[in-house]
Amino acid sequence: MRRRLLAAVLLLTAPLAAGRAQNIQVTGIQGVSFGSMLPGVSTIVSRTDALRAARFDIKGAGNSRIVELRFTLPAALSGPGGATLPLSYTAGDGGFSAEQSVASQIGFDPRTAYTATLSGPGRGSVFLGCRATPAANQSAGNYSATLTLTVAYLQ
Amino acid sequence: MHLRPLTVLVCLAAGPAGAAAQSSGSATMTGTVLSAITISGSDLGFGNVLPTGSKRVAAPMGGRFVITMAASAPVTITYALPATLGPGVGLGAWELLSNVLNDPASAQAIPVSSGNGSFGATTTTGTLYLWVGATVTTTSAGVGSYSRPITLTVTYN
Repeated sequence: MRRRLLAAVLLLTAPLAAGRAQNIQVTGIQGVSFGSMLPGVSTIVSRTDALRAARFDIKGAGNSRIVELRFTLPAALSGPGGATLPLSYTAGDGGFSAEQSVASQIGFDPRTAYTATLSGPGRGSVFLGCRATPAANQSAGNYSATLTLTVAYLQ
Repeated sequence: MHLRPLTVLVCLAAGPAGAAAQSSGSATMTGTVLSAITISGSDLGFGNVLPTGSKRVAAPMGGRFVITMAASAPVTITYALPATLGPGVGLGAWELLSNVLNDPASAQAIPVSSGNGSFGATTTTGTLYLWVGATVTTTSAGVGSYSRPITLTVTYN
């Protein structure tokens, strides 16, 4: 007599690292706002300018987790008729604040990845300044670009 | 010996993927490039004047500046008006008219005086017209031609 053995194995995977929540949220609060610019005249926005600097808020897990911050920086603003307006960044244009305060930032180079420690409750803010350099014959009009910040846990 | 078939059903039910260990956020960078400001001008000419005397050229008949700029963008116009054209040839009673239309008859008077000064302006059309007049007063002035520049500087606020 043939007998069949049917074995059913049901594996229910638990969330990875169940003891350590991995959730993290990054919210773009505002981008860099250059305001009105003149052809041939560079405009610099400081990362400490609360009204014009870019700001991202991070909401992560607690216990002062360490994260990696990585910007995707646009090289230019796009404007009317396909016109582009060059942007540039310097070593101190990025800023991180575990206190989420524009007045208490630690500067970093936004062109490379930066390691930061979130606050005890898992909070932090990232700021960015930038320089825009319109050409002397820059077309008049409105310009824009998308700035992206990616945040990943390192531990 | 007879082998028995063995069927094993394995079901993997994946739970929430451990939530995100990485996340991204975006924001928009913005800016507005204004039109470059241009200024062109025509001379304020007094013509022939006696060695001692006085002659007025009213603004509508005097020099004219045409300024182009971004529409609705406030600017500051700084002026430098000469007090004399030379020895014994004084300038005064300056007159200045402003209009977004090329029409001095409907222009607005701007109070000015000799020397340096400034005033604010804006235009919905992107073009501003200024007319300038003055009175020349001569006192035993030597025969000859006299000239001095009138300088306007326009900057976005």
